[in-house]
Amino acid sequence: MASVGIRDVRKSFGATPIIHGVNIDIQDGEFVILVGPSGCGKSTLLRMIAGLENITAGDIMIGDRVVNNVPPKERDIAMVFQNYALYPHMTVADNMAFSMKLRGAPKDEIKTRVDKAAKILSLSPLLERYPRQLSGGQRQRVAMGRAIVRDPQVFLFDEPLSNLDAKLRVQMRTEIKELHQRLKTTTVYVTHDQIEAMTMADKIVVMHDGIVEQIGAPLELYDRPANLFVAGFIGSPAMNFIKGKIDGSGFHAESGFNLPIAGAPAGSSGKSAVYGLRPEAIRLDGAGLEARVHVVEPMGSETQVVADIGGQNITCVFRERIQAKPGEVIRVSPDAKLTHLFDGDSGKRMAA
Amino acid sequence: MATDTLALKPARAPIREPSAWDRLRVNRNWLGAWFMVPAMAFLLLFLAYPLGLGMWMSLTDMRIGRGGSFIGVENYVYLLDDRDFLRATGFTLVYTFIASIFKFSIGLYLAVLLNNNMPFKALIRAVVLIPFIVPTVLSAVAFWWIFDTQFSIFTWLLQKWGILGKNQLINWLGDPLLAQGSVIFANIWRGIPFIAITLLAGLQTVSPSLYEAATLDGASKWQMFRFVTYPLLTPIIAVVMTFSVLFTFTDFQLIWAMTRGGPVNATHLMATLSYQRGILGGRLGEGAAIATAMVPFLLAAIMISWFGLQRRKWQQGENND
Repeated sequence: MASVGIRDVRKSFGATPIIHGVNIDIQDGEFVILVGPSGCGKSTLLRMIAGLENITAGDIMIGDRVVNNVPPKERDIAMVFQNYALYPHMTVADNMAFSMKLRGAPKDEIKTRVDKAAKILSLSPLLERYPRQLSGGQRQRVAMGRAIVRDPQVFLFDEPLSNLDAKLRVQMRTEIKELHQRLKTTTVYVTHDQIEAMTMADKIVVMHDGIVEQIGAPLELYDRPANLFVAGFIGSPAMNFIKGKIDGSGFHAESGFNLPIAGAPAGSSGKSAVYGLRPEAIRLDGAGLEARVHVVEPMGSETQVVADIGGQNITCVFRERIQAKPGEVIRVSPDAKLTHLFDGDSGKRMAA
Repeated sequence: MATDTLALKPARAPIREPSAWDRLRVNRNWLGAWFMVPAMAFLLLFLAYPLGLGMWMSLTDMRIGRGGSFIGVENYVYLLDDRDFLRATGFTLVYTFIASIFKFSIGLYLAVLLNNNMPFKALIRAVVLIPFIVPTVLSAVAFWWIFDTQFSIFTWLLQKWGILGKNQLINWLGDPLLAQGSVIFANIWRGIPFIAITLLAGLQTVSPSLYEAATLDGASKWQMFRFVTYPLLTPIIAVVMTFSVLFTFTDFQLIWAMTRGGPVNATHLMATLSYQRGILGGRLGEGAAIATAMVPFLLAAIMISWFGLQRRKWQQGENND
């Protein structure tokens, strides 16, 4: 196991810069998830750690060793690919044993390690099958088995769950997390799915257009997003944004209504700002704002309502089962303690 | 109102049992059979009929301009004692064997080479195809000059490098062994592109992520070829080599244009010998017998590849992606 350091790393394909100076510190044994929309450079960064892409500038370190020019096989890492990249002409056992076979490990050692990994992943009955004879989830597990057998310093996962159906994805999410808790191997995991990031990571790195927007623990990102991008990206359903300006100790929306804030930052009165309101920070309140219901989506455990407040669609999530019908008016008010304020120009979080 | 609509309903013929013709009209297999008729007719007329006719002729003493009478296997018995026929059969086997081995190795090597990223990739791939697109007779004429006793470029090069004396010449197409080597060389040159380009197409179906996985697993370039590329290519190799062997075994044009089977019948293949005896020599029955004698060899080649072509165990089931 080892820590991973990424120091001011840049990457250009030809003249097009893709990654503009990224700094990330990954502790030994940590589960770090790189998350961001497609094209943000997260997969490229992962492939640079693996050694499948060159580094244009900066340093990548595994342990205390700068690995910029170390070939992939000497970096002591294992990677799980999005399409699994299982060798179709090898059985499950041969797939998992391949790297050790290349290294010339003794036969019985290979067998012990493969059997052990197969047991961890409950693949034992499938060892003699070929990849084509497996289901998606089983292939996924074989790909992980191939990584485990090598007992590497770092696991790299490149969107490993995106080819699975929704139910299996939830199940594999738990399995991967359990596996990490059991093996405690440093893990770097790339996904575009913020729910995967929130549920699995020790630390999330939010990337956007080749830069790191914010690094932090899942709930830290959720509770104190550093800017509008992170605020909008993390959380489902997404945060509501209302444009307007700070007015004394309250917030005056462009469309004419007033919203409460926990406390105006000093000297901010009159400044334009964006009011961030998570759907679950909205309560039913007989004395609150008028909201005309558009859509009601009952989920069982909660009810999601899209309603029009002052001409803007606001998504609300209520724990109560409300019986409102489209077109009806309900009264709601935000929980001032759970609101966020962002600078109207820079989009950065305004300290309360 | 309700009674009105009922009354206005158009009268409908009573439902009758569907006749056999009705059932046939909607039968998809019946329709499908008709779609196959044109192709069947073509195959029967231009493939099965000539083949059958040739086999029948091989059992007669037919000559040009004179219908023959049935003589059983007399032609074959005669050929078994004919040194030229035996020599042609032997040389056809050697020719096919040596040329196929070289074509396969060089073709595979070229395919792997062309699969790499390099400047002017498309252009180089097009250049590799040239031997394949030039008409065989044209390239044979070029080889005729290349192996000309007086003007051979090989002789010239050997003289230039001092391996041969100034006025020493090599009788490339005049010496039996050298002539055999020369025609095999020409056949290899002509056959490589087909194999190289087909295998290149096969290489491009191998997912790049497999190579990335192998890189991370610590495979060297050679190990990657040995354990990933080659096994994944075997199904295509089986198809390509079957075709290559069949084409080489039945080769005619190249030999005929370069040597006409000479010197002293050393470069006769079964196909050229059959033509010479049957058409030029006028003994249609004997020529047909030589041609028919190729059939068992070709069937054997097809059988071997048929077993080789069977889906391997790892190819069964769903796709890997």
